[in-house]
Amino acid sequence: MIDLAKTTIREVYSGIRSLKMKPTKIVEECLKRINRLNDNLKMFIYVAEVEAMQHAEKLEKELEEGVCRSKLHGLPIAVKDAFYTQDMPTTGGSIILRDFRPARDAEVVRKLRDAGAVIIGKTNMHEFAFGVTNKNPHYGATRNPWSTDRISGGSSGGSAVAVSVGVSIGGLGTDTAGSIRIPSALCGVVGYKPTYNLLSLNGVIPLAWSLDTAGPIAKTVDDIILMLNIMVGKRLKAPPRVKISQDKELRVGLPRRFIEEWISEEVEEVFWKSIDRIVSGSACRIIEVDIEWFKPLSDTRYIIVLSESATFHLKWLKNRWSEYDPDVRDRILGGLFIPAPVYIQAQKIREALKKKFLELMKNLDVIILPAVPIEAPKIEDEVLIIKDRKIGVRRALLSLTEPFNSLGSPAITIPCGLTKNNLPVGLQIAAKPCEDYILLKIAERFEKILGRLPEPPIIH
Amino acid sequence: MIEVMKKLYSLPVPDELLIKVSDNIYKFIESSNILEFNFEIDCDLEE
Repeated sequence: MIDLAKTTIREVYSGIRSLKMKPTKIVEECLKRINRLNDNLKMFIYVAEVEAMQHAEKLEKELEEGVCRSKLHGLPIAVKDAFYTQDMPTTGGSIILRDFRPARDAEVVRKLRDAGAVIIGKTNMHEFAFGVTNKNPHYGATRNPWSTDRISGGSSGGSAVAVSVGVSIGGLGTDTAGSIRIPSALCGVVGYKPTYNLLSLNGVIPLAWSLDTAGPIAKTVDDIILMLNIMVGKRLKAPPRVKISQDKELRVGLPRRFIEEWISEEVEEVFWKSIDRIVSGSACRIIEVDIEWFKPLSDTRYIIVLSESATFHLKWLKNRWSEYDPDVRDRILGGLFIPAPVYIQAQKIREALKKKFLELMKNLDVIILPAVPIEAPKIEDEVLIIKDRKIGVRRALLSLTEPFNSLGSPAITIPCGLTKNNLPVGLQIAAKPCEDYILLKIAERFEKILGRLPEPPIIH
Repeated sequence: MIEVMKKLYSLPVPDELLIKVSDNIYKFIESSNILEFNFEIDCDLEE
C-alpha cells in the first residue's frame, strides 16, 4: 500500500489516473494512521472520518467515469482550523468558536475541493494563531513526530505534523510571523509563505490583517508549486525577461552576522554544511550582506499584531475574556493599550524598511538563512540558553522568520539535514515581493542538492 | 486611564489584569525606540 510519508503528489497522481490507486483506499489508510497517532501527537482537532470517505467515494466514481479534476484528485489535505469549512467545525483552536460551523468554505479551501482534494480534517493550532509553540490548552500540545517530548512549532503545527507523518499529501497553514515556516522546519517538511496578498484570506480567521498570509505545506517544493497553482487559480510564471535556467549563476545573499547572533550550536553545524553543499553543488555566488537594519522589524511587527488582533477580538473581550488561553488573552488585551501614533509609526517604519529591502535585493536573487535558529524545544521549555545567552522560546523561534512578513516577501523553508539529536533543520530562502516563481524554482534547485529527509521514526 | 478603557470598550476584565498588561505594553514601547526611529539615518530616506 502507498505510504504518503514517502510519496509526492506526482507519484500518487500517476497511480490515481490509471486507477491503480483508489482515493477511498488512500483516505482509509490515512484515517487508520490518524487513529493510531492522533492521541499522542494531537495534530487534529477534528478528523473528518465520514465526510472524507464520502468525498473520496464520489471522486473515485468520477475517475471511473474518466473524470480527473487535477493532480490533487482524490488526495487528502489537512487544513488548519483557522480556515472556514462548511461541513466541519472551525474553532480557530479556541473554546470561544467551539461550535462555529461556517456557512461556506474559505476561498482557498473551495479551490482545493474543486480541484478534487479531500479534506481529511481540521488541524490543531496555537489558539487564534497567536503563538508559535502550538501548546494549546484546549486541544492539547501538538507534539513533534521526530521526538514527542518536543513541540511541533506553530501556529500551523497540526498541518506540518500531518504532512510529516503522511496522513495527508499536503497541508494548509497561515503565517503572520513564521507560523507556516517554523513548524515546517521543526517537523522536517517544506513550508511556504507566499507574497502578501497572493492567496485569498477570504474565510480565514484573522490574526493581523496587514501581515497574515495563507500558504501550503508539503514534502517537496514541486508539491508546494502544484498546490499553490490551484489556490492562486493559475500557473505561476516567471516575470517577463527573467530566466531561471539550471546553469544561471545565482546571487545568494548570506546575512552571516544576523544569523550568528541567533543560531544555536546544534543548528549551526547542519546549516553551514548545507551552505557548503549548495555552493559546491550549484552555480551560485554567495554574497555576504548586512541586514542589521532588520532589527526594528521585530518590535514593529509585535506592535502591529497586538493592535490588529485587539481590534478583531474586541467583541469577545467584552463577554468571553475568561475563555482564552491566559497567555494569548494578555497579549490581545495589551493591544488595546497601544496608542494610535505608535501603531502608525510602526507601519511607517515597516514601509521605509521595505524600500531599503528592495534596494538590497537589486543585486541579489535570494537571501538564505536558517528558518529557525534552534532545534525543536522541549514542551516544558520557556527559556533557552543559546551560546551563553538566555532567550525566551518564542523570541528565538520567531527571530529569523518574522522580518519577511513585515516586508511582504515570499519565503520558504526546505529541510537541510538532521542535528545530532536527530531533529530536522530548515533552510529558509526569501526573495523580494512578487518573485514567488523565481524563489520556488531556486528552492527546487537547492532541494535537489540537499535531498529529502527520511520519515520520522514514529510512523514505523 | 484603566477606568476610561473599561468604559470605552465595555470591558468586564478585572483592574489588576488591565494594569498588568498596560504596564507591560508601556515598558515594551519605551524599550523599543519605535517613537525615536530616525528615518533619515536608519533608512537613508528623506521623509
